[in-house]
Amino acid sequence: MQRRFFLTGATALTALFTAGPSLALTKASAQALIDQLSKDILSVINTGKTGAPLYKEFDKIFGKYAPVSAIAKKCLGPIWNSTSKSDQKAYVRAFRGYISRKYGKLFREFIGSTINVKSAKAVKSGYLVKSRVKLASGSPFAVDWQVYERNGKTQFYDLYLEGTSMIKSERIAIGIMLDKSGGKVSRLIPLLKKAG
Amino acid sequence: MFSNLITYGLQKSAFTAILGACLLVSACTVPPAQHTGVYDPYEASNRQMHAFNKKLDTKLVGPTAKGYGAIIPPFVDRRISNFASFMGLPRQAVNNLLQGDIPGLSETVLRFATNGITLGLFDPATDFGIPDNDADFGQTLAYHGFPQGFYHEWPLLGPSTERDTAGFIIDTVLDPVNFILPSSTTGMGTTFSILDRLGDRNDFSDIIEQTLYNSEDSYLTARSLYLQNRAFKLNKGVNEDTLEDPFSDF
Repeated sequence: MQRRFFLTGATALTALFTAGPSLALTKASAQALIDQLSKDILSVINTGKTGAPLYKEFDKIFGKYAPVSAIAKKCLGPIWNSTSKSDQKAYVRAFRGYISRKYGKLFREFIGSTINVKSAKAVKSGYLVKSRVKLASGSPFAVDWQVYERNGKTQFYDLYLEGTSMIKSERIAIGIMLDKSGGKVSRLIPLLKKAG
Repeated sequence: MFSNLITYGLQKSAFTAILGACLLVSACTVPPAQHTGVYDPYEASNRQMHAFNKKLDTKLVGPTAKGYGAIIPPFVDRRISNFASFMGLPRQAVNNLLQGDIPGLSETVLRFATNGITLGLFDPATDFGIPDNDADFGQTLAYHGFPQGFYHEWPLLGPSTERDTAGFIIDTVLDPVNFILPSSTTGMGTTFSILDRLGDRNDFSDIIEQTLYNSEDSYLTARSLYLQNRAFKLNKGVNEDTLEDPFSDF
């Protein structure tokens, strides 16, 4: 019990230092990141690529803009701490492939649309950048991007499609797969490789 | 002026439905404190309904929507979709007003005036940057402090909550359009919104199919997506307090 208190305290202390006000992340830089990210996404989907070649491009985009292993860890939950180093590594790799496939497929629905980055708002952890996707069919679609600074680098963290969070949805999805794997990360990995 | 257009039957059925909705609202269950924020005491029967809806979607709605998508050209589909949302604007305006949302009300009125020029068939308002705020009576109830109640899944209509169901009934029955148009056209708005839904089902078929068939537990997925989306609409944007913390591990 005491050990846990100590660990929580240590984490909080680390968070205090790393979460301090940053100089590099500004409203403009957050907005610029999402401008660039949405341009990258649109240019990939507008190549008309599908299947594996498309997912490979999304894998690159995730790697470039987002802290994939931190997101993977967040979606898995505290069981991460009792997972072996090699399984952690394999899980992160499988997770990365999974979200690239899943969100590659999802964003392909935006083929021929325009993404308008509208505004950015300061939030506790960084910025929330609002954008509006105008689908080829004419219907607008709200996409919000959570942006923060990590080790001096501006990164994208979570994605909200009409208010539905990628991390929240994936935490549920991974939780279900973990249940089906009898709570074993080693058995979750092959499931994850097939999903998405 | 319009009162002579309202038939006794409509009045009577409207009254019964409103009474029902009021009872439903007043009975909205207040959940015990929960960590997940999801109050789903009827999960077992909801799951049965979900399985039924899924089957219905595979066998009927999906193919119908695909057929609809194949028959109705995108141009016509968009006109139907625009018209359906145009017909919903008077109802939306009433809800803006009931929510004390004056900027929202002016958006709705402006949309009505702008798109009205095209008889609601086109949507120049969106191009002019006048957004659709989607106000409904479920939100109005929330604004006035009615609790969300439990989550449930309806046949065909899918996910809802006690509060949203009551809101849906009131919106449908008290739709101002029903009272303005001659009684012979009552239900026109509903017909168009059904056609619109079929169109949506076709447009976003991949996204929906992915949600329904490609996810490990489509019930939980659908529930989470619905509740998150409703919270987003209620808050008129992403609720900052619910953002994930990138500085903590889990």
